[in-house]
Amino acid sequence: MRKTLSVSILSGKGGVGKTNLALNLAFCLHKGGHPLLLMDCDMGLANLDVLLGLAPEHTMYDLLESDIEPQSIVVPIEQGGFDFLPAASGLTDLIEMDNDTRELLFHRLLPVFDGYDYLFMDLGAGISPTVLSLGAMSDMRVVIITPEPTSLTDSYALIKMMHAQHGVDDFHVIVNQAENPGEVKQAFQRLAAVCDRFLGISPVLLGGVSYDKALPEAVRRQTPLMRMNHKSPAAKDIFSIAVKMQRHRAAIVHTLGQSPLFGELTGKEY
Amino acid sequence: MQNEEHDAGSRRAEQHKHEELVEAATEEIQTLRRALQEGLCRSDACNAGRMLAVTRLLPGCDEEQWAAAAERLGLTNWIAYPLGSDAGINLLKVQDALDDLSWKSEHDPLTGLPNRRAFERMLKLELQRAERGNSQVSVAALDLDDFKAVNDVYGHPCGDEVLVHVAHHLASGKRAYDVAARTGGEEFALILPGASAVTARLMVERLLAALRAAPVRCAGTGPLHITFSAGVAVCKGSIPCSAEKLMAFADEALYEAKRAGKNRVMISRKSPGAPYDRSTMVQSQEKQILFSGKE
Repeated sequence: MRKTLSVSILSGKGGVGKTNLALNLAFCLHKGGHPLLLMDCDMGLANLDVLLGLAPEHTMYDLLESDIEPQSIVVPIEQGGFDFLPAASGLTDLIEMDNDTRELLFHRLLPVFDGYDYLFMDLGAGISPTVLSLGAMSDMRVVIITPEPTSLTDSYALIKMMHAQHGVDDFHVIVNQAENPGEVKQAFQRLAAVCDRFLGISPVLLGGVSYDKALPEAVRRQTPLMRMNHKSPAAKDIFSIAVKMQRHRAAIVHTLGQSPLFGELTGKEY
Repeated sequence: MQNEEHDAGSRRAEQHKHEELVEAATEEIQTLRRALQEGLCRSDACNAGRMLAVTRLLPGCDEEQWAAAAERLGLTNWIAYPLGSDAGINLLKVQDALDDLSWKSEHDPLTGLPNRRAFERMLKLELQRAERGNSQVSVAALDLDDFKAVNDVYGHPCGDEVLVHVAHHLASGKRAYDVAARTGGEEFALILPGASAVTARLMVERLLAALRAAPVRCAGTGPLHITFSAGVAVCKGSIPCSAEKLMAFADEALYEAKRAGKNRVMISRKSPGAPYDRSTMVQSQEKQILFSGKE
């Protein structure tokens, strides 16, 4: 039986390319032979389906409202286990899920999670209670930042809150939209210095992703950059980050539970 | 024709009165039901063979009215037993005496508002409800400004009139589901379910403004302008907090309001659900490093 590493993709600030990175990293890991489920957790303003040019008929919202089989809402993106769980857009009730709703949702989803090496959760930007608790539930947290001071401040606020409210102390960082390697280094070092000095924690740098004109073009074509142009500068950066994530999974796979997020589910009857 | 309409009207009023009576009793019954669920009575070997009927008299109600009300209120498994006026009259006196005693034990005789004891009981209940529903509750501690001077200059009867006047303002200005209580000599308190600290402050400020605009006239005095100072504290449901602590925070904010010159409302910064919990705020030192990389 495969063990699944749950990875939440986070960013304090919106518009830093979080969803796009999640999609392309997922694409890479799948190409590397790992079955992967990409879950749109931006409840309320879902975008992953749009990046993929999909208009799914059902979303996770249906699981809360009806007895629909959870497997029936999974959308295959590529052959061989690259699948997608769509969320709804324009629904305010899911932006702030209460604990019971969240537990019910994940309880319904558990059968779907089987058989993947990775569960990627693309969380909404910001510091809502839903973002904080889903982030805390997952095995690995990847915070997407850009070199801009606004992004640094917002992502630090996110880390600080998750640390204070959920006791989380391990974070991985990707610096997106960097003009050069110096910018990656500087942005990460500033974030790491504050985390170390005020929270006593040391985030890990997964790498930087260069600013790349090919990316917005891929968005307009509604296809992953890795599929459209895997030799572009950003695509190469994403590839090496995916390799690091693969190594991280291999290093901690023995510590993973039978089901991703299982520690958080109470096993209540629904 | 007119008489018939009049009769119908008074029948409706009568019906309404019965329903109110039944609903008041229902609230007591619900409390009792919860207490029973939480183990008020143990049905173990020692208690085997014992049984107790707890009776509440509903004067003026008949079986038909009870059946309709019980259906609507989900109390169909309660036994209703009709009492003739002869049998009922003595029991009714006992019930009246009990009602009177229970009212007195929870109300201030001068103003008719709930007293401190009732206030504390209701606050605890409201905090439990907020924790269950993950909502918030604000409390406000109020203290009349310079009340001693009113008593000294115009005498205690005038002081009492002022207290009644304020009580009336609070009771008629609050929302239906808020609680206004007299918690001490010139101290009042409010429970404001669902209100954030900011909302609570606005509500109390409105009450204060209304009071300011309506001076009291005791016999033989000119208009007396009465004001109060108030402290507001809030508890957010997800964070458990005790009634005692919450009131202590409200009291602290009240003294701050007094120190700052009276006739105003202050929010406690210490209360667990204060609008600015600073523990997770990004401080300026932290921003310094993020912006420049230097401390």
